[in-house]
Amino acid sequence: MSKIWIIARREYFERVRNKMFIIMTLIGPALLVLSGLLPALLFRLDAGGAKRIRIFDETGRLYERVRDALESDRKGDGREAHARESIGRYDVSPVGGKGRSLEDVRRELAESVRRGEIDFYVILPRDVIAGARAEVYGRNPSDLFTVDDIEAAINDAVIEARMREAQIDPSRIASLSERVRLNVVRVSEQGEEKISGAGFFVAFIVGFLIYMTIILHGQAVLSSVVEEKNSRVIEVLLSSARAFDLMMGKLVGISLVALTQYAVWGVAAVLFWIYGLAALAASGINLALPSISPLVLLYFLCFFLVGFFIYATLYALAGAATTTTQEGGQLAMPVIFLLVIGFYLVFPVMRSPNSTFATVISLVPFFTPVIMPVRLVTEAPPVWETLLSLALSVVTAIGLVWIAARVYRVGILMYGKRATIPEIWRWIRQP
Amino acid sequence: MRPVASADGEAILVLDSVTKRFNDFTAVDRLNLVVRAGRVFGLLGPNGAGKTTTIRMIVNITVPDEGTILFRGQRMGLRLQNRLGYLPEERGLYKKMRVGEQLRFLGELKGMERKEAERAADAWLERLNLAEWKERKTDELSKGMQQKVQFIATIMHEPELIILDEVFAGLDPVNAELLKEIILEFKGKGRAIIFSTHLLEQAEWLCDDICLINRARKVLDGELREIKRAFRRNAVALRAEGAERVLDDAELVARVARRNEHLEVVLQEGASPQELLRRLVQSGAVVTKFEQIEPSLREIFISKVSEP
Repeated sequence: MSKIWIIARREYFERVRNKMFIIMTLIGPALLVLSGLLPALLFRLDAGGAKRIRIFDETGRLYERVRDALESDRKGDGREAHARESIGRYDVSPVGGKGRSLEDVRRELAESVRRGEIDFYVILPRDVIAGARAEVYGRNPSDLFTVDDIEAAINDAVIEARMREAQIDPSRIASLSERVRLNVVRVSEQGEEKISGAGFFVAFIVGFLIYMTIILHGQAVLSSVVEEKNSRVIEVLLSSARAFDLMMGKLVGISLVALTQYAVWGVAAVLFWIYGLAALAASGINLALPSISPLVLLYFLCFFLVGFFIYATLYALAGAATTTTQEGGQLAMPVIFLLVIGFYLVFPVMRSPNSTFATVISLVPFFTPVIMPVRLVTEAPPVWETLLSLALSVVTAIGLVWIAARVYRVGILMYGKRATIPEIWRWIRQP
Repeated sequence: MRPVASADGEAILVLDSVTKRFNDFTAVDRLNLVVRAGRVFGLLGPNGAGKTTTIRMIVNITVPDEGTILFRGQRMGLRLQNRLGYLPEERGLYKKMRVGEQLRFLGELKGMERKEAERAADAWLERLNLAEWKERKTDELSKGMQQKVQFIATIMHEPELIILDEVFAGLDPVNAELLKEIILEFKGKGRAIIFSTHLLEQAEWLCDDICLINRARKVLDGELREIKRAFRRNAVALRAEGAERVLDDAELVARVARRNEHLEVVLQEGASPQELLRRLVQSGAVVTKFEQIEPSLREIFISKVSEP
């Protein structure tokens, strides 16, 4: 036991004092937020200036409404945020079509698109209010945002025109078609509680954290094992301690590193909760705190740890069976695959958390760490099931550490070549 | 965990008919040997003879397929590992770890208390002129210095049995001499030392007992002095002036070969070196070198291996 501790301590302090670790821990949350937002930001980013759009309105009644809709932020329900960004993004002008045939107008507009004078032109045919199709032409019709905005603007204008024809006041329609909102209340042993979807959110975060941790720190386990083999430190270590202790110590050390990182981030999150929420509330934005019992949080921690152990050990196993980090990475691919499957299984489980299907897969040790937290925050499973799944996972983790230790010990006798599966199997069975 | 005092010559380690196979390949074949307290035991043989496999079984990294390994009468096992010190052939240190912390860690793994390990590491770093490198990362050190750090890691917990695999590799003569001095100190304290090398000249320098292995099997073992005596040829290295008349005596001298620094005089059967020396002195020759030629371990090894 004490040797496990010595090894864990070395592994922990060597990593925690590493500059990269400190930097990652400090800027990690910022990076995480950024990587979440960046694709959306980039997608919305429009490198060009305002889009020049010319509209040929045969009806003579729609142009102004469409222009207003595109040039201002006055838009229909729920689209405010979207529209706000489009201020100044469109430069709309009419096409006077008096006395000219549609064909002539079309030809002229197409020519100015080709010459680059305008980006899009729109034809609103006479019978568009009765249901005919409006037409949008442009050099780049895959600019989905613009096409989308044009469609919405025309849509609003046409619907409004139809309502006026039917003698209905559009503002009345808006108030009559107001959506119904739901209060969702969960009934459980603890009584009734209002949920805001935050439970799902938290369960998802736990699953995601396990996933991230395994990707980041699992790789560290693999390269650490490979390094010890390549630098031959392993010979000195194995002449001093049991292979099982070495493996266990390494995993304990690295999982403590991961927990340290989350503790730092957790403190940051709590500070944000305390100070940031007040600030947000002051500026008119209210965030609901997810309500989760301390017991469930404790379960989360247990599942997180056991999940990390199971997957990190698989990484260690891959490292022990190979001689380079790259080869180890290849061998570890199925590990990620297993994890991703677990992740996808979350969705059917969310829909019916206490079905036989959900119960069975949440007892499979490789899926437990991801699935069980979801079940805990949805429709709480019986306590015995939670504990059973935890026990099965712990047993699996220890068994895997034992196997990895064997492979690790025999693997040092092998230079320069990757072990085959039958070879690994033989090592495991060897005394 | 203070080492148990042991009488010189007491058997510390006994290998009894130890065999290790890898698939169809036999790496060590029915090996018997005895390592005694207060003596340096040379485990010798060419590359691939089975030395490293034997050592790995001794330090309990692997276990024999057949036979037993006894350490002070107990079957080798995890409990006994703290009483061994092992310096592997290839340097085994964490590259990115500071020297001082590395030694403390390896000492703790051998069952030392934290403080005790720190003290021992400091003392040994001082002794081996590495004190100012204590806070440096290991890969900033030269190969020779790393080898000395590895050596400290091997002996800092005062093991009863020290196993050194190619310990002088990469060391300059000054440092090699320093390590040899320390090895002899441990020998003086009654510890047993296994010295493994493929360089037989080094073994002659240091060993009391040897075991020569070749292709997984023991070729020869015993006390080095005895072995040399047994393989002694009836020949003398001679440097002298005015010795020609005596050397011409065909009843005494079989033949004379000219070497770099001396003459190699092979005596007739039945004639003794004493006889030759007496005759030389009587004849008034001035003798500046007279030494009975002992075969080198290399020669002994080659003659043993090429035996039918």
